[in-house]
Amino acid sequence: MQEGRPRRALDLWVVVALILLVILGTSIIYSASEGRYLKKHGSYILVASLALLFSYSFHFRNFWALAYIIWGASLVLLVVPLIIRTDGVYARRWVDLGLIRFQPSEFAKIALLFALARKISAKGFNPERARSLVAPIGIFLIPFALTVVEPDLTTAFILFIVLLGMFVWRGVRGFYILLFVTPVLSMVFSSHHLFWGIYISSLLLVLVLMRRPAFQIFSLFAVNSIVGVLNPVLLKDYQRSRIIAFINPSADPRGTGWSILQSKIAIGSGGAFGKGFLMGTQKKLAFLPAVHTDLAFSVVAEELGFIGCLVVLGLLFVLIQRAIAIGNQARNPFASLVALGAAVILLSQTVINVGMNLGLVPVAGIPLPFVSYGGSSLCASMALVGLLLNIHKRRFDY
Amino acid sequence: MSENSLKFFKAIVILSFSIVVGRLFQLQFVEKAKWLRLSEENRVKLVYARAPRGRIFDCNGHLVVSNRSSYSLLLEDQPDSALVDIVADRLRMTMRSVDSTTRYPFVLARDIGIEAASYVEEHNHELPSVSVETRVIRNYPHGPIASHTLGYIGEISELRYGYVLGDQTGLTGIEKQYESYLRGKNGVEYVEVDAKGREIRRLSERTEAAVPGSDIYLSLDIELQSIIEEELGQFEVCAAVAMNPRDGSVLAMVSKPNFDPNQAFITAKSDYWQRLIDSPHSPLWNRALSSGYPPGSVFKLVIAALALEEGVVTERTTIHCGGGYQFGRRFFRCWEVHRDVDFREAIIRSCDSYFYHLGERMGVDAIAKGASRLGFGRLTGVDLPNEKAGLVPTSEWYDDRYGEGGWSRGVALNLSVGQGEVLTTPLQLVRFTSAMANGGILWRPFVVKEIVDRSGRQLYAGKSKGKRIPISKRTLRIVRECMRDAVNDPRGTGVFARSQLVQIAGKTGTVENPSGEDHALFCCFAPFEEPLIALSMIIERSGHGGIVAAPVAKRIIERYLCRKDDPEEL
Repeated sequence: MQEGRPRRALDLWVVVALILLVILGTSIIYSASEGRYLKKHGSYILVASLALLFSYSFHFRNFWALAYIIWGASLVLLVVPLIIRTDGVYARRWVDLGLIRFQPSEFAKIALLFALARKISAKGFNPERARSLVAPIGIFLIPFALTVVEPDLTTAFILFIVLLGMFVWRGVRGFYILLFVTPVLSMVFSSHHLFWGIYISSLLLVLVLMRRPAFQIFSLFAVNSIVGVLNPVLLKDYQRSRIIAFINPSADPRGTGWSILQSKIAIGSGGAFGKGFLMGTQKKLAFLPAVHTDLAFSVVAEELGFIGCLVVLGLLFVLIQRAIAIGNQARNPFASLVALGAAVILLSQTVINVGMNLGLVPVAGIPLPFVSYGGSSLCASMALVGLLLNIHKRRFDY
Repeated sequence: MSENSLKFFKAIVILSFSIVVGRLFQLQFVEKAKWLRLSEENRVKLVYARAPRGRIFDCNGHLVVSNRSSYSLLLEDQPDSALVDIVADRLRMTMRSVDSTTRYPFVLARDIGIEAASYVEEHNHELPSVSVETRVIRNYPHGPIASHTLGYIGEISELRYGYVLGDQTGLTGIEKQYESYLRGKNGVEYVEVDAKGREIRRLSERTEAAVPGSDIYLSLDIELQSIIEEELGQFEVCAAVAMNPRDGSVLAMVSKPNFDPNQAFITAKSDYWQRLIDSPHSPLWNRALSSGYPPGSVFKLVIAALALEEGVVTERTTIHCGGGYQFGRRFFRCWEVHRDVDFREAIIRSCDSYFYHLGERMGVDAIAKGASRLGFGRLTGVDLPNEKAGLVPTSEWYDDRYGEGGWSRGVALNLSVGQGEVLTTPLQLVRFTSAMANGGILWRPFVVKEIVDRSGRQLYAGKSKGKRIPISKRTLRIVRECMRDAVNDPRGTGVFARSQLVQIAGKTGTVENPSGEDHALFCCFAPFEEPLIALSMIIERSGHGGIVAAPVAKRIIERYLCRKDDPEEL
């Protein structure tokens, strides 16, 4: 791709997409919060830019060297909100340092990225052998368990996707991957016994049709069943009700189904060109409880319409595609995995958030990268972009 | 990185975005008409119903804080020339004056009372553009009595989770400390309105009724509180705390000057409020737990207990007081010439020389360590906001302040008579006095006994929590007896607190005030054998503790324990 051209140090696609996204995000936050959070968001952008510069400036080898230390630090931060409780809405997901408060789960994503990339890019890692997978899974499981306890299932899910993406990228055998993926699906579907029955039967059917060996079918079935039976223990009531509400919104019209419906109304009524910037009517209703954070996309859709959505999605698409390309070009396997992991994080956050707004996935507390209001998330997203630029600049380094 | 996995990832990205864009297309083009209609119909207004705040009762079930309706007279726009005068005349009230710069709606008069309000409502047609606005406000039936403990409320200044604009929140005292129990939960009604704001229908299935706040029962005895405030009536600046030595519950907490929370609330930013803010004596300040005073000779009890316990002196140690004590080149004066005094006599007659001697032998750090164990220089943990810890200086503190070696060991002499840098709050003093009364248990004071929601369910119970101070029974007995004799022995400094009705034990204190008259202190408990009340009292700029404070304390204790409502009967 780059052959025959001068070797640019800076990936302009990424830079331009980032700047446009931040500008769009700021406008949307301004509209959604009716100006209230503009100042704070401005300061978040400043801090996040510092995070970007930080992750861009140092050679990625430094992150390789510090990967496990960063990972350890993220664990400590994840434990803090479990021990120290403060009053407030999301008390258990925050770390309060007096001056700054942040969500350690945002940091945990990046920390896991480094630790996994280092482990999986190590010389001894053999994607064909189950034993090689033990250490990466261990590295993944601790922060995963902590985010589940917090409880922040969405972040836990993203951590899982990161692990999965890296395994696929390194060519881990399909059976092993199924062994990870299907229990998670089983957990989601077992919120309702009917759904779970359908899921298990179709899984078995697919496996039989694919002519997998009997022991594979049996072990997959066993793992799925155990998770399914444990569902009541693993999922909180509100999480299960969200899943059920998603499957059947009319089952809980006063609860979470209502916000899905309201965000669909906001999006659908926007039409091709939207109702105009600042002119949205839905966002003013208290039905949309997190209109400047998790439901920011529905404000884009309502006020700027299909065109506005295409711009936002297009910019994110560019970022993610570039991330994959950067991962592909990087010669250093660690850097390659980090870039790919960044792509996976950005993609999964985008798809989950937008999908939730569109009523495609259950309501999940997760911000849309660069667009939703929130300092921790903005810092994390910008840091990821910094890493991408970093890896792109040093793509020929080994 | 095989070609395959690269393709796989690109495919996943394109697939995900296609699904999202496809869905977007479905909603925004195919189903647009349906969603647009829903959004047009969906202009819903939220109407909040304010939850009534919880009430507060004293320990005998007397209502001390409640809610009531308040009616304000509003002028909605520019009146005819004489309208305001007519209204003022008919209601026989003075109205705030209107001029050309007045902005409408304008509040003509606040809290006009139900009769005037109903008169205006009835004669609505005769009084154009005059209306009555009703709101529920906080009612403090006892006015300024216990105002610091109860606190007051005000409108929230910035939006917080669970509040709507215009909500009230506790700003000080119990109102603040137990805000989460008192506030209840606002009700909300969803009203669908059309584009012009006209009501279409109420979404009754989503209506949430207001949940009234929970009621608080205090350990405070409003009668005792009134007695103390009355007895302290002649003094401008003073503080007192009464505690039940058996469980650490606070029976009364007085800080003067006080304020009327009724007025403070109704006319926030008014003249009354401005007067409070401007007053040099800071009436809003709760001296009982936020002000640190040097404890004066009351601190001799602390030194005495520590010295006896550490074996610095025995009961029989006698010292000659020639009107002072020579320390190096400095002469520390005693307030009197006591001649030969033993341990007991030194406390009873409050001989400074004796305690200078003890202070020299103990040193700053032994005093600091011991006093801290008796609860000084640290928060008591009372369930009220803005508590201060006071100060018990250590040698590090002096090093910090004056530089290493920049201070004389003579500070220990000053500390041992409760002068100098040591600062204690009246609450710490009463807690210490309670510990003397009850045989050595230092309580965590508390004001709230229980919190009960409107359905009668108990949500919170104030628990006595105490720890034993490291002072032996024998020492405690001696100190107690000295306190008894300080009041009941004719030579005692607290002799003006001696009562014919009940045996009071106490200790006087006088704090030198470089800028005026001395502060008078008195700490006591009664009855001596079976203590029911411990009391600490400080009266600023009034004179000698034994002369000014002791007789007041005596009358308070007599009136409380003998329950004589009429002070003339005593």
